[in-house]
Amino acid sequence: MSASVAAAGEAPAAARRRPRVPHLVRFLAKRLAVTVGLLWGVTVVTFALVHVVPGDSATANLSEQALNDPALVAAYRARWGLDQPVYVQYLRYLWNLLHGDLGTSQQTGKPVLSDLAHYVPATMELAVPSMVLALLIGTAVGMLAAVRHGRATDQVVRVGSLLGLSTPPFWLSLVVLYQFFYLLGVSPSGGRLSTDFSPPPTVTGMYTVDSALAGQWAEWWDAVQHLVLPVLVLTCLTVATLIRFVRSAMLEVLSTDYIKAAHAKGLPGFTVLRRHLLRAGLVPVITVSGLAFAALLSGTVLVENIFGWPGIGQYAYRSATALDLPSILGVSLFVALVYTVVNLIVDLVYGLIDPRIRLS
Amino acid sequence: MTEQTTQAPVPVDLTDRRVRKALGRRDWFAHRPLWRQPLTVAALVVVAGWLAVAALANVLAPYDPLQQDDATYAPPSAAHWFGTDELGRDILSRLLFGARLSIPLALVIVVLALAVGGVLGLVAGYLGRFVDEALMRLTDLVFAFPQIILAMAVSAAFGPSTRNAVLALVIVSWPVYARVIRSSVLTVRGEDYLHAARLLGVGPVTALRRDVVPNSVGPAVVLATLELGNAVLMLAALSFLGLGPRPPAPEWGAMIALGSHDLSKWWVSVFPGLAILTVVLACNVLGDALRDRIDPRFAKGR
Amino acid sequence: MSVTPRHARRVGATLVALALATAATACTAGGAGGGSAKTLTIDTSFVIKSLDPGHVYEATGNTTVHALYDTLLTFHGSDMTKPQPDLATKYTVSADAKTFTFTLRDDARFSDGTPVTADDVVFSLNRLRNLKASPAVTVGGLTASKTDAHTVVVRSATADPNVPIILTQPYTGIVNSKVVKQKGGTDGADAAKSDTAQKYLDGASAGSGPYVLKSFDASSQVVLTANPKYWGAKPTFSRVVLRNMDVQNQKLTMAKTTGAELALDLSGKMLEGLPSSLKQSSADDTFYFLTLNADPAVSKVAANPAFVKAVRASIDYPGVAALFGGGATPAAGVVPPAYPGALPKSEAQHQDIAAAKKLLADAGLKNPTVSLMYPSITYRGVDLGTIATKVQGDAKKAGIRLTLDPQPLTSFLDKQRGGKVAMRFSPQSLNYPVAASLVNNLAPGQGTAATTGWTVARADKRVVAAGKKVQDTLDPAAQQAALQDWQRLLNQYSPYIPLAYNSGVVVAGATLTGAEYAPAGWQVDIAAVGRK
Repeated sequence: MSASVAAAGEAPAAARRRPRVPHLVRFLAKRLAVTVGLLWGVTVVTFALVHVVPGDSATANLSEQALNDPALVAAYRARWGLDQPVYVQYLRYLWNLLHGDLGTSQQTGKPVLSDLAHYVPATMELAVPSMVLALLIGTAVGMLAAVRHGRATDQVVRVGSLLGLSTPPFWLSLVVLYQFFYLLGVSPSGGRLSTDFSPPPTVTGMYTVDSALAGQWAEWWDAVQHLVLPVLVLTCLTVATLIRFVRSAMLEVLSTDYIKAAHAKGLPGFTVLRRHLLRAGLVPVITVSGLAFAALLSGTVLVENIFGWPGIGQYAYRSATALDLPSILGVSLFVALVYTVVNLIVDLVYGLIDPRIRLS
Repeated sequence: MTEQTTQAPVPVDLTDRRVRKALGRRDWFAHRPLWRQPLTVAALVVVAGWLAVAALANVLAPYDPLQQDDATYAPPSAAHWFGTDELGRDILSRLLFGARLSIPLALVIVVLALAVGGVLGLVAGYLGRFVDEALMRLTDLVFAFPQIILAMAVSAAFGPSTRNAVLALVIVSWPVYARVIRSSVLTVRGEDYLHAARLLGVGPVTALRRDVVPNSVGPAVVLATLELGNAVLMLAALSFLGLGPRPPAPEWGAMIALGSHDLSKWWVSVFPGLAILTVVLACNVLGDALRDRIDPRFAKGR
Repeated sequence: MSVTPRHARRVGATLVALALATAATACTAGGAGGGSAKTLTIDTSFVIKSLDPGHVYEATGNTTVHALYDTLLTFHGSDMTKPQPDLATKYTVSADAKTFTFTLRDDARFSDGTPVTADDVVFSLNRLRNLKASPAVTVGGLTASKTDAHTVVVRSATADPNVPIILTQPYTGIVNSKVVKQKGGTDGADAAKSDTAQKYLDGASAGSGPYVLKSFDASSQVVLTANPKYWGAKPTFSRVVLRNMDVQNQKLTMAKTTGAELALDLSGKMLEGLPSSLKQSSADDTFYFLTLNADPAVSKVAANPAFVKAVRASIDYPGVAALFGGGATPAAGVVPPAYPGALPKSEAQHQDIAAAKKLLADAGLKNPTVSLMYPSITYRGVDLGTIATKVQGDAKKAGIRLTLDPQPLTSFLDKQRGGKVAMRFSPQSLNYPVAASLVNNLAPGQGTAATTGWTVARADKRVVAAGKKVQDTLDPAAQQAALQDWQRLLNQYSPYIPLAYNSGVVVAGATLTGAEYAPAGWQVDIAAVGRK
């Protein structure tokens, strides 16, 4: 990704000789430029795509009667700026974007920014626990497989992680719904909260956090129950990649000289594990977690739809089917932003944690 | 910031996270001969089995996959092993004929994406500088979109059909190939023999063909095998959303979508799901094994 | 196309509702059953855009708005025979069916405590007309004016005995004019451009109905609470949650429910296997039909009357109806059985492959191939692709090759409006519960007909005359007879092939009462739902 490209493009030796802080600043500046460029690219692609679509947003949003009244259609087009040439529409959008205005969603009638503020916390409530679980399980199982390299455990982990990579998430969602809701009746069928409860007062927008803050433990428990199945599916989706990564990275570390030396010195296995392996194992986890998070966000589209979870995945789906350009753009920009920011953080943390980089 | 992995002669530039994620790393059981890898053998059998099914669907299928019948929603029985769907069509037959769609289409997607990504990756890696930078930004752009949303938008834009679903999936999947090929080119670009060749007046096209391309074949084959499963998955996801091959084509994802309307008729969606699962799993196991075998780093027995 | 006011008023257009209803395809679910004493949970696949009576048009919106806003007249339960008093205690109709005088009750109050006056009624109806939003099609020719504080006169530009029925519809709900004006609402002629109250009305209600709006999220749920100032009988449930839930999850949920919960989209096959303790109420109020383009320039094959007849003869009508499930019936004409004027069951179409083949052979059509476009959505729990596939299979038996062309809803509507589609398949329901409203939509040159090349010039004169007769007949019984004649002619000479009628169904928990399906637009009267 961007950081590695930057690294590949420069002469590493020269970069290393520069003082540390300016290097970081330069790096950040470059990344910022890349991010802005990326977001700009997203607006161009989305704009182009939506204008290729044969559907007309006036048909989707106006009544039959209004469509037969040229004055009203013209007014609608003027209101949404659709009467302008595409490039003017685009420039106008960019101008507003620079002023923090993402436009108004044609389907909800609300500013896209407030729509995002409404739907993003719901998605985060799914994505964050899934990511945390995937990281924990992925690291633990990956390390276990590496330590038991070549044995039965390793085999089982291998098959398990490949299974995770090979299961269609929408199918898995249906299967767990059928099993845990319909057959066993131990889980709610979807949504964020039972209808008996009202959403807790909004602080973060995440029901589990907000209800805990408000001390509403019945609501909290209900919200947690609603989280279980979708989080389960999303974790399955994500953990497989992580397991495979941690395992291979650990194997690499295990074969390095300093671990061999540590073993040779007679250090107990656990101490070696704690002192060296864990840290070394963290590096690949961090490396891949940015990408895994992006994949997770992508996975929420289908999963949220099946579980009736009102997050940005569902919002994106509805916007796409209604040809609601401002919303589609808003979601795309948001995801691209998350993608770049997460990867930036990953790169920074990476630099902090990798001993070899610190040594240099 | 990530130059630590340049220590050994690596077939691909593993400083690129995308590349590392796409290829995964490290052998599982590469050092063993094939016949001592039961999992790989099993995967081979499954893949061969599905290929045979695709080829012989018309012989194997007990019914016409499009034949409607009054026995709608019949649960699995001796007459219909996997039951029937809401139009009374035999699910087993549809499943078998579905292999004729999913597997060849996945192959087409992979081949096209490999062709597009491969050429761009070669060019970018070899020419470097501005071209390389531009290509990397372009791939970043594609990665920044949620894959399924971009594919949805593309196939919605051009109308739902088999061709457009394939097109959409090629558009979202070529960048991985471009990255991998580019990385493998980068690793040989600095090599002395290439330098020498250039000094000897060997043109860029010849150099690409003679030295660079062969070096990229390994990673490309590994990636293609791994991505084959992914292509099956993505195609099923698009079909699930109604953006794949048009009905009444027996596409697995579309079959799951129909079954999802009434989960109490579990057989309608469970069997196509298992079909997808087995194909993708087999592809992934094979891809894994292939990678361990081809990757020269591991062949050295490290 | 040219639309006279009279015509415009009656253009029945389910598909616009569909357009606004893309949510129907989105899969959704909800939590486990609402079982508390006070909360009624209504599971439905959301088809909702606005809760402003001036804009509301979609099923979920209508159900909600009906609970938030009172109308002049209403229907109780599933009885559609005669409008009943609501805000109006009584009404009179002039002999020419052009002037309607309503006397308002004097104890009705809005949820903020202000009394409901004639001014509010006039404002609400005129605003509805001038907004020219989707529901305005039915009120285009109506003008409301006030005689005194408790008397409102509604005038129709053309003779129309059905105006009282229109005034039962949720979109004619009476809003608190003071509040709505304050929030940017206007009933002026330019309301379509200058009215800005929709935003407010999507967040709060300003009506006199049994409930008030607590919260509205078009993607997940609408929460209503009992209106403390309500003038009528207090509803049983003080809190109502309409929850966005996909059909398959409605089935799973209703199979498990123990509490105060009902589902609105389970129909057809989905009803099989549900516990028998659940209550079901239904009415056949929707029809599904094929439309062929009569313009030879679009498709020589589709425009050939012999081909239309051959397709008509090739369909296995009971088989199609079976796909919609138990409640559905093969179509006899375009008017669904829930409404007076429908053709009797005995006149249902039937399959005759031999006749279809003969028709094709006589017309010299060999292996005719036509593309069949349909919106790729699930409507009322039925995947339209499944029906289209069935039609394709039936037609094939007669040697007709149909290629399926599923389109996302917006593209479908766009192409439909373009008028260049050879053959299409779509559901249709009535704009308001009067069967005659179909005439102007389906008659040659109008609404649906215009989008499929069926001009007056291309139509059989008898069909045109029969349609005109329906419109000109003011006596209800005579009009129903005229409607039946018109439908019989449509079955012979029109490019429409009605396939089946499907019912709307309310499935309610065993302990609930009054959860009756109303084929009147609002599906179920939320306030009437009680418990044993």
